[in-house]
Amino acid sequence: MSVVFQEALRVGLTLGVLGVVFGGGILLLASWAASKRPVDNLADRVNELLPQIQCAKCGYPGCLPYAEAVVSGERTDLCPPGGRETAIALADLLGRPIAEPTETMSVNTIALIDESRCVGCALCIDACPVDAIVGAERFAHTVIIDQCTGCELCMPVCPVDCIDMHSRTAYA
Amino acid sequence: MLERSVRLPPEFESMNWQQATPSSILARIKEAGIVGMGGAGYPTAAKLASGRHYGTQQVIANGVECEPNVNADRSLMRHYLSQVIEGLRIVGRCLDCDQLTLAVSDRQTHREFQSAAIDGVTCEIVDDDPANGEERVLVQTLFGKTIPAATYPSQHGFVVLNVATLFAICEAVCDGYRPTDRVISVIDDDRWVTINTPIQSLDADSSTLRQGSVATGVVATDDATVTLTTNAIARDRSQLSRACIHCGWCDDVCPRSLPVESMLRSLQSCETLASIDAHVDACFECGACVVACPSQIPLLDWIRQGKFEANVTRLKQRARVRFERRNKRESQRVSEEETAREARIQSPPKW
Repeated sequence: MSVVFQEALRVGLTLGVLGVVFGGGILLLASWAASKRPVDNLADRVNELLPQIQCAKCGYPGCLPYAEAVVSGERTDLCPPGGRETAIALADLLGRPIAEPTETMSVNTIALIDESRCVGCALCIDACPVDAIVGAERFAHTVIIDQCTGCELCMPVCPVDCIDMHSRTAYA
Repeated sequence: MLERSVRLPPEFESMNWQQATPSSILARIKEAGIVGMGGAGYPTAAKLASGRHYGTQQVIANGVECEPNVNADRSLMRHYLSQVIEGLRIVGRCLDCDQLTLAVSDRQTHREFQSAAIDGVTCEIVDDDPANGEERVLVQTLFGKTIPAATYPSQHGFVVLNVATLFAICEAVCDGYRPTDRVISVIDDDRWVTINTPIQSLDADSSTLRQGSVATGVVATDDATVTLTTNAIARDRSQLSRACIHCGWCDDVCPRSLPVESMLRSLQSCETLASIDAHVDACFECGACVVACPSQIPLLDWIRQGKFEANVTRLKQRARVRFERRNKRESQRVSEEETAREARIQSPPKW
């Protein structure tokens, strides 16, 4: 009796342990796969189509907020850097009539600070949506050109007008 | 002799380089604006300065030319070998290095070099493989030394210069000329072409032309002109391309062992992420796959497009991540300020 019981217990325990191990593994795999492909809801898919310049020219404070607004009914033709292609892609994805944007802007630009004119006010650092400007107060700032998206948001805040837009291809 | 077009008179005084100091030779090369004429266009003065800084054991003249219908360097060596060797010696003098090597890929040039009996310079022959023209691969093939990625051979004691660059150095130092023309393989004959000649004017036929060889060249736009780094003009043959038959020859010949065929498939179906996973960026555009392709697919055009898209995708991803992180940080800061304010309201200062 006890031998049979022990045997049953052992088998049960072994199976249980195996179940936990493999079940856990499958769960881990599933979560890994989920992290690999984060695109699951409509706003993320819209965001994926946007150029990620974060220029806020659409009237929203960045690409993700605009993507969320588009999903809840905002117009699809408000993205100047995305241009015609993005407007069409958005309209196609959401099944709306194609609307062409009225203004477009180049995506192949970067901002550069003329360090000799920079007074170190740090206003542009706060304006940059992607943290591409480094510097401290009262010291000259500079742009990390690999991170700059060319959104032009730093230009209007500069009190001494020392930021200019340049072609990315000339520097990258 | 190849017939040379009319040139501007020499701009600098001729120099006796045997007596000149290395730094004055370097200054002249910088002044003449010489860049690498093998294709990369790297400023030669910068390369030589790096060679002087790190110390040089070997100067290699790169005459390896293995692309289809490109014979510009070969013609130059055939007609102007003495000037090329002179350029090599000038660079050797500039870098205090007496190990001079001329690397070639065809037997005839090798034989001619042997019969010319030039002392102080060794001539090495390498396999007729498109990858061998790349300087890192060449150093690996000739001397068995691996140059780590993201470093230049000049940082490891090897200075590799194209033979056309050496010819330009010789002319700039000995005669005082700026490089204003170069030998180019136009379709199937080699000739001197002045820099900034419109490419469309070189071929009477109005077919599409490629700036560069048929394998590695890019389709020339209407206003494209010959530059110092243009070594050939070829007729485009991408109109002749047929569907991929999945033979896998491109995979076999790739010197970087890239999965070219599956990369082509993912690029043709606009799956940029898949091509990034397949390391499309590791391609150094030697053109071996285009030469090998029996369906004449312009593989390199696809790969260049893929590299561009990969770059854009990476930029987008990075911008999105940075934007989201910044927003998270900002909202955290706002909420912390809010909590601090709440706390202050709860416990007002006691007077």
